[in-house]
Amino acid sequence: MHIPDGYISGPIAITSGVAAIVVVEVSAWRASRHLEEQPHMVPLLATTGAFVFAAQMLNFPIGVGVSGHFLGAAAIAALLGPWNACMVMALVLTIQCLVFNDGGLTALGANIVNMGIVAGFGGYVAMRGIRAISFRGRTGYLIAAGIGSWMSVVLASAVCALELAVSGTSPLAVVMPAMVGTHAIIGVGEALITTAVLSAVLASRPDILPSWTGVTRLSGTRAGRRRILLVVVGGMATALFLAFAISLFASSAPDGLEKIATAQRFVARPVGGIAWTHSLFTDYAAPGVKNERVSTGLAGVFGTAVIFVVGFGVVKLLVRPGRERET
Amino acid sequence: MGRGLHATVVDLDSPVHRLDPRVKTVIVIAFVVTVVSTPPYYLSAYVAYAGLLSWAAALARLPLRYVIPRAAAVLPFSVLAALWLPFLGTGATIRPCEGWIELSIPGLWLLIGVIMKSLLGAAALICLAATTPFAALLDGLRKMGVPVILVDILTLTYRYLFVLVEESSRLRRAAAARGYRARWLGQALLIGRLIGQLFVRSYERAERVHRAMLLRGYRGQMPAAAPRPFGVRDLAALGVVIGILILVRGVLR
Repeated sequence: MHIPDGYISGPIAITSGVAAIVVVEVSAWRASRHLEEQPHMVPLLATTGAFVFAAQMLNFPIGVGVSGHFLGAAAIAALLGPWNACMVMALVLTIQCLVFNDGGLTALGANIVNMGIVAGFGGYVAMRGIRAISFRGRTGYLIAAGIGSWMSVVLASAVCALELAVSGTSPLAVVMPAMVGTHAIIGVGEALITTAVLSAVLASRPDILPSWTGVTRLSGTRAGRRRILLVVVGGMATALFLAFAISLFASSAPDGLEKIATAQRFVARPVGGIAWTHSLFTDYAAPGVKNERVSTGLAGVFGTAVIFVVGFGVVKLLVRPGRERET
Repeated sequence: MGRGLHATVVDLDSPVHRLDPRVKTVIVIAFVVTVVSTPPYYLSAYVAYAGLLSWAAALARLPLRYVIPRAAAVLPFSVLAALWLPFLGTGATIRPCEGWIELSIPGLWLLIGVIMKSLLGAAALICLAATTPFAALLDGLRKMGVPVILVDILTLTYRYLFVLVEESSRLRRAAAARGYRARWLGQALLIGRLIGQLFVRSYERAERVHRAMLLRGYRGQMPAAAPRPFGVRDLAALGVVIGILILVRGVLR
């Protein structure tokens, strides 16, 4: 998702640059204000930045010959708070841009906005929100972290697509599904990794987790199980509704369907072999359904359902009853 | 990503290496902004930009086999964001390949534009990184008014980058030695366990580093070298490059 030079227009570059500078300045001010109580903040933010950089080098496979990597903003937001997450991501992106030439200089602001501010705050707000309606305990915390980090990646890719579209580089009806579709899958990897990271920290250093974690044991009681069921069903229904609505919106964007259709027909050949040519729902449409809009919507719903089931299964696997611990 | 070739290039000595880091930073920003603002069909201007960059690389004694493959690393992004432009754009079209496909001319220009701009931008950043040690670059940023705490954290981040990258490649090697091969998405869970391990180790490293810093007299600010005044050479380089950029951008079509 690192935007190189030349893809975004001047106004977008300047606006996002100013936004990035303001947020990073505020987070630097907040960090230096708390330096009295947390004197180890300077080395901690530094090693966390280095950690994000190193973790991004561990690729995971997402499909036929394509691999994704960890982003980390949501995980850091869960561990150190959203402001620190913005700062850490900004540092990592700056080093990647200046030293390793990943992401353009004029796009640095946009990259910080997408992968730092949107992913950090978006992921944090989603996690806190899900945590608030979710059941207490380790399972609830990890589910909130998983869904929140999935949303952080998808939100960041959506904002990235929006910037490209407003810059006039790429039509919204094409770049939005392409970016969000790819990152909905990468996001599953992000969710798995964030959950695993937080569960590892919970297991070995629960003292460094922030207070809102509130890890107490609840599963096992009848009320606890009913609450789990409620959250899962409610969350699933919301996600399915959103997927359906977004798919409808995406396909009703200005002459979107025609454009996607032409793009798919032409692009599928040269790019061949990447993800959707082999998938069941070729061209993001369910087979056997005549109405194209409803069909696209159904494909979105199906994808969300699969992601949800996989995510829930993983949390179940991670959290074995015997391994829960009180803090 | 290792420091191997990068270290050998940064440790060279040339007129470009000796320029003040602030001057180099300003030059690179001016160059990238000028390139990005040039419409794609001003091809002669792009030739001039590439020439200017090659001249700087030659002055810095940077081998092309160092610059070009690294700059080409920006190309995959176009698959996600721009490769379809010739198939979608409006306006005049051409039909190569015996009319099998129809390409929009404005779309083609957009695609060529983003490819040229991203390559030139990346190459300029590579030249900056290859001729300026990161510590010097940070020192330049500090003198340009970036908050001290940010520069301090950046310095330490860069210091521990290589340590943690080493640690993560040790973890990866250990996994590979036990038969790990990337096959399907669910394996992200295993990578997640490795990354969780990495985070705990990096957190504990921060605690150790902080104690070590306190022992060495750290009081919330890192010591910095006294600023070096600009030399005649620095000002001349700045003037010449900015002049060329204004000339190229204003005259060439």
